[in-house]
Amino acid sequence: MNRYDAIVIGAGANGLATAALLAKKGRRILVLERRDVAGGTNATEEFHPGYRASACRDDAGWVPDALVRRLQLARHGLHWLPVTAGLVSLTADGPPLATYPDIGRTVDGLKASSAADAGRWAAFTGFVDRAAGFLQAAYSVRAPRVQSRALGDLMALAGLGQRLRRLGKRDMMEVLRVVPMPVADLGEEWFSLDSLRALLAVAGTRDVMHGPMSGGTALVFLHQQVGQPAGSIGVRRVPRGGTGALASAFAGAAREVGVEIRLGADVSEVMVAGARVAGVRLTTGEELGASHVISSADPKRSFAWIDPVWLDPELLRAVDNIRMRGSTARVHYALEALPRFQSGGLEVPRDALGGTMVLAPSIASVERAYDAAKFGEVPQSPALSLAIPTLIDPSLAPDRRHVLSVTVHHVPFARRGGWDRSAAELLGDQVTSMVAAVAPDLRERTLHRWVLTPADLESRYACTEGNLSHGELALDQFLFMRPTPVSSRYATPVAGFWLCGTGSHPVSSSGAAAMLVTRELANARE
Amino acid sequence: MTRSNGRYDAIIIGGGHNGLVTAAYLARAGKRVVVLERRHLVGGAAVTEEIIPGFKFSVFSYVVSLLRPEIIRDLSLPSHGLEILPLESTVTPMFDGDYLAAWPDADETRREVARHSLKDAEAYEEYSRLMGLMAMAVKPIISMIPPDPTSLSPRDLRGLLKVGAHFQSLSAKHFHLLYKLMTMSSADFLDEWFETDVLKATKSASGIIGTFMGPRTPGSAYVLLHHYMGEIDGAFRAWGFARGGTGAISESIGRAARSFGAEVRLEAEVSQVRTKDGRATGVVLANGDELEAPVVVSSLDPKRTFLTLVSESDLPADFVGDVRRFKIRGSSGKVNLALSGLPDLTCLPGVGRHLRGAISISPSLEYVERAYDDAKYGAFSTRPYMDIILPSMIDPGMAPPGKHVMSVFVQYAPSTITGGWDNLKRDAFGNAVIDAIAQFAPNIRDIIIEKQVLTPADIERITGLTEGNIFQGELALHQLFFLRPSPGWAQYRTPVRGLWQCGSGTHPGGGIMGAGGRLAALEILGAAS
Repeated sequence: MNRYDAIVIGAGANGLATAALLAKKGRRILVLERRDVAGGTNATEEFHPGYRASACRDDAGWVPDALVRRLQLARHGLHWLPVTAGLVSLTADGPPLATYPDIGRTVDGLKASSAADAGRWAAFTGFVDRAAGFLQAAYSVRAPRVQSRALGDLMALAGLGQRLRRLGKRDMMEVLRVVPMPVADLGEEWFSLDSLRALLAVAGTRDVMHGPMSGGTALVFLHQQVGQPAGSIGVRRVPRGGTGALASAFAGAAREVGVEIRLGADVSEVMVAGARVAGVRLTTGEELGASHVISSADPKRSFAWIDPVWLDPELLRAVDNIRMRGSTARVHYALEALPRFQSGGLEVPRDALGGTMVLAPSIASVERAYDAAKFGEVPQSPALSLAIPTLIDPSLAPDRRHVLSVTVHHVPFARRGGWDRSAAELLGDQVTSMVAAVAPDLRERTLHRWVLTPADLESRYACTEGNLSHGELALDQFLFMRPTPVSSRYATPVAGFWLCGTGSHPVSSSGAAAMLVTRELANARE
Repeated sequence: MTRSNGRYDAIIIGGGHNGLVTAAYLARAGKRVVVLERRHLVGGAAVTEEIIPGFKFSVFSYVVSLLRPEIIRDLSLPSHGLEILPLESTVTPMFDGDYLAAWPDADETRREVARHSLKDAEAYEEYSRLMGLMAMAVKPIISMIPPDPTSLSPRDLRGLLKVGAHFQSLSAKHFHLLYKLMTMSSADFLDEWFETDVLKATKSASGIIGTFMGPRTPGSAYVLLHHYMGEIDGAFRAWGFARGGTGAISESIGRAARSFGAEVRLEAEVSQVRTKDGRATGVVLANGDELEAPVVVSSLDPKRTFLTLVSESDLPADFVGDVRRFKIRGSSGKVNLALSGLPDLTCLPGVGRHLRGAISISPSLEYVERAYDDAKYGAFSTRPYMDIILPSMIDPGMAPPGKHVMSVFVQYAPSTITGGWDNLKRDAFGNAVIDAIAQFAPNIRDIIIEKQVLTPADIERITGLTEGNIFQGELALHQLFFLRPSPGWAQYRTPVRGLWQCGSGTHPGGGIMGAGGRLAALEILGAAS
């Protein structure tokens, strides 16, 4: 008799949310976490005494309302902080250009640079809201099976079709047209300002080894808009305490319903007996029995835990083919005071500083960075996204001190010559000089710098090639194709072995798959 | 039979292959049809011209594989002079002096691939088989009128169900493969199959022909299939060359159209589509002549049709916006050479059967991708991808005895080159092409008698194709099927009643396919009955 009904591998947001939901249904659940801290890629980490950063990403992402309610996350400490701005473009020669949650405010700001663009902003956000709303509907149900003749599947497809039709003829066509488009074309269709187009280009190429001129990057942009309030473009979702607080809230909810979380427990094998999951073995040799094992690790790691004799070679090939080309690095600064940020000689207003400041002058500059990255080189001028979380959440640093977190885009995991400490610090120096161009006093304010290359992200957070989305978001790795067609509904060909991570539909690192997974598990038991 | 400026049942604007196909089908159904062609010869981008005395060039389009077999049958094109000669091999020279060849004999090709990689030779067979199946799976889509997914009309719903049923008829495995082909980059797609770089390079190169994409751009895998669909008289996967050059194809369609009673007027440039009360009533020619007909069909690209021939006030503002943002990015140029002898390839010296096939200058994936990178920022590729054939090796009538013609398709040459194209840039482009050929055939400079260099600007000037784009609009996922050329107007109709479109800018797109021309004619006939 197993002590556990199910073992969940990985104590990130997805693993913990899945564990909590299952335990709420009366299941005995064990969560195994390789590291000594929970949180996975959402972990908030102290990188200098007294200074904490959301290590991997600044935006905690979309958490479905139903999940927040079901697990009473607010009661478990999840508290969203207001963020004053969305995306803010800083350039050497132009004034800062900011988008705010308030459309009128954004339009007023844009007017100074381009009356035409200002005039289109409201229509643009309206379209983005409707398109993202459709994606959200698709993300709230399991991945459709286009090919299935089963009544349930046909009904689900018809439901999504109906949702699409509700947009009206014009918008429906627009959504179908825009999703496979390059984000560069989307930006050019709407706006004339290079810096505004570049903001979209950077968002559309986040965590993918593609440039803004690549098809499908409009989807990457729209994906990040899922769950955003109307009119908001690229506004970070920030819990008090950093992204780690989201994972903590899930952990709190899980523990309350009896979930056991074991830290420092590294899985070496998922045991299979008679074509069915039997439990897991840890690197220490310890064996833990369970009739279900649910992995929130990426699909490559997950399937590698299973003896290949149980897996169809076609599946192994499909898993091997999942593109997980890490393309993001992070650099965190512990600052003794807030540097003075400027753009085109103008001071960046305080509320714009609270947004995500983007250093990318044009679509071409982002595309050129990708050109270098695709051949294994670190770009000379990568696009940077800067966040100062301490402006919103002072608890992350000592009094009046600050943290600056930089996302460096298009940094190849597959760097020619590989990654080591000196290559990492070289990247850090490069980022420091780029940021210093808009914040000249950065160097003297810096107490400590922490560089996470794609290789660091891989080794520290166990995501293959440092790909934070556990598989690039691309049309061929989306919906019923994610992570592979046969495992797109969380179940795998090995009975009792399930996936619940970011590598599965709907590409969420904030627990959005959890409700869908638990529903599938419940159906499977019946 | 004389027909002056009297009434016609239908006026076709443009005597390219699609315009001629539409004309032939309409005339075959008993309609009085006139085709108006701006130039002194029919064919549009499918013409043969003796630019240099004695040397015949397929000036623009140079090979054929996609011409629909039903058109060949319906119009009895062979009896009107169409003869397709097979283009059997492809040789891809490599930088190290080696090469990769694909021969007409499958076993020989497998042995050739095995010379580079045993693993790839094994995969090659399965790959070819599956790609053949995928081409079969796409075929019915190419021959259907795209249903409007937003429409609830019985006809569109039937169309949608037909598409749905078609995909359901595929096995799950094949459906997913087809989906991947529709959405992936050719390099990523080929990475899943092969390890030999030059094999992936040469295959992906065929996937980017005519597009403004590189091998790593998602969406390019689809074009891979587009070109894989080659079928001549039902034989899949074969490229061909028309005896007499590409113009012979257009001429045979023109003869077929005339045999059904269609009139073809040359040097008759249309300057305006006349409308009355939102209905097309005829056209005005550049010389001031007016022709009337209740049906006007444009085979020109969407931008030329709607932004130059039709008054903006006759069109809904949304539609004009859609046409303006339709991407027609010219990406290729053409160099035609008159040669005193044959090129001597370093990798395969002397005269051999390889000279009767294609020579692909795509030595590595990185080479092709970097060629694309140049073009993205408004320059022509300093080391371009090239698809070369020697038509005189297949059809000796193309050049004087002992002499040869060489057709060089070159990519990338962006229509949006920084500062615009001029004579200096054309010369520099031509020199870059010759230099790039010389890397693999060092004697090329010694045998050139004369050369014709065509930039996208030249292609636009001569043929009228906007930006010189040979497909009348990028074959990207967001511009295909019910989105081509514009959402809601993919069924050959236009917002102006009586005005129709039939060019490559409509579904299913470019290549010498004729499918748009045929489907448009069927729609027009269906609407009339």
